Amino acid sequence: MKSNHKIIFSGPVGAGKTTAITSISDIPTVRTEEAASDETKDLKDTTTVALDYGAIILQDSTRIHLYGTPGQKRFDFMWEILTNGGIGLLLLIDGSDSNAIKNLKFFLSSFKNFINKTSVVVGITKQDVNKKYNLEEYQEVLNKGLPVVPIYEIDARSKKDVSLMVETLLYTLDPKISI
Amino acid sequence: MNRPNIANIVLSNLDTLTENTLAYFINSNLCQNAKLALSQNNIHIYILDLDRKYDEYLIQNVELHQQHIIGIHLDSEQNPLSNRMTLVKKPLNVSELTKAIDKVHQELFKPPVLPTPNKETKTKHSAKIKHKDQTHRNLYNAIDEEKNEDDIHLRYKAQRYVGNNEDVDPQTDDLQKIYINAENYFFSSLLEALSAGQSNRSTVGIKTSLGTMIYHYKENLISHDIEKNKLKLLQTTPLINQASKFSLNSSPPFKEHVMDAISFAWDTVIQTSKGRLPENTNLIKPVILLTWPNFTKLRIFRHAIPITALWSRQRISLVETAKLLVVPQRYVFSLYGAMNALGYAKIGKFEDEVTQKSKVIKPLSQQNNSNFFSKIMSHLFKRK
Repeated sequence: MKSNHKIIFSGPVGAGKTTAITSISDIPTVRTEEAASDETKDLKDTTTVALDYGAIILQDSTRIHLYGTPGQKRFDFMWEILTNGGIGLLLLIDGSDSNAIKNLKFFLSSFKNFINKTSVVVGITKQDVNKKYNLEEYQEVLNKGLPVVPIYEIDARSKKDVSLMVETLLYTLDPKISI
Repeated sequence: MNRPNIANIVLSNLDTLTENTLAYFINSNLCQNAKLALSQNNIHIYILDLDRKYDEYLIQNVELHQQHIIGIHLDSEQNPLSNRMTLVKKPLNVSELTKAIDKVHQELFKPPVLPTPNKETKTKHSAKIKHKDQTHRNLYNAIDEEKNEDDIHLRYKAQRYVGNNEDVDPQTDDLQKIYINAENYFFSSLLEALSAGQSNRSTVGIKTSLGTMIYHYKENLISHDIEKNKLKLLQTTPLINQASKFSLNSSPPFKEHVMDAISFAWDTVIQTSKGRLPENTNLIKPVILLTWPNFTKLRIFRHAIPITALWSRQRISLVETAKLLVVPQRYVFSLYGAMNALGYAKIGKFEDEVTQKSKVIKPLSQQNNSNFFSKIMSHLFKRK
């Protein structure tokens, strides 16, 4: 019997969710992109309108589904549907966006119930492009006692960085995993 | 000029790292009876690697010239190749090497007859010897090789930085071997310089016995003019009486060797730590994780993520951490040492543990996911 496991990638438009999924997916990423309209078109030409889908396929053929949520707030009704039964959340924030801190707070609050049930790892992208905040400023938002939320500066194109996020997510769920 | 009653040593046919390490050791204050020979005229001792190709002519000639050889070797069956040869087994143990040098030194120079020291001198002398022994022991712990069990985990090459100390029982064991005096190591000066640069918003020059570093506070970068091998020595070897000095200045950066300052500082603490802790670190009070380290930019070693994950959700002591995760304490100590040095973690009070007792990990293993997670991890590691 094939199990239904999924990891959720979320974050604002242009944070690198599609790229991150592609960098660790064992299958070509399925994208539901459309030409961008509204404020999104200032950020990129196309954007995810329903979801992105990739998968990690284990040796025994078990699939870990990788779902990317659409970034626009008006699709937030999708978020709850997508997170249902998810292992945990990888939250990507575009570090070159002057609203990055605001976005971080917004997404943490939007996924609060899911995070409380599972776990979250935050990845700040594009810090090497045009960094608007230092990592310490993001950490200040996150570090309010236990649990201490993991946060990394990442390159969404790097398999190593995204794998580290997944690894961290799994260890925060169960530090006693042995490999 | 060669000093009287100091044996002059020549290092012969050693690999570069061993040669640099021994050169540094011999010229430090840890080696009191010998120094590296400054010329070929007055050589007393050759240190020779018997496992590498060596010049047999040299061995034949030491008797002729009344010289000595300290032969370092791996083979337990190795016999001295000359009656003027003293053997020291690898991996090099600093106290054994010092013993060998002192023995040869005694043969070379008649020991002076010392007047009976008065009580005060005697106390000072004992304290000095005690300090020196401790330093040797610490250095030994620092340069010894890692255990083979660690070699299999290639992903975490940095595991070599956790040393090979056995676990300790805080109630019954001598804890000296798990502690280091930070002031004896370069990282202490480095962190002080970084902090001074940040608080004064100034470039900082760090002068060391092996070269100069400049900390550029705006970019949070370090540039230096130190060779790679020497840099490693600087990071790992005690700097007895050679503490690095720093000063606020506006030196231009060196063009080569530019590194991220935090990554370098982290690396230096890890390399120094070798599974040991800063002196007086409490083993049974809870660890408080203040910030999750940015591991995409820092050297990570085996068990670093699960240990941090545990601390991120639970107040638990260093010793209990190792016990709960079933990992050798040295991994926990190395990680905590680095986190503490960079301000990511500290030791709390017992009250913190009580306050936070209700907040412990909610393992998904309740849903029997542990094996499944292991499979995902193995899959990810295989592809890296």
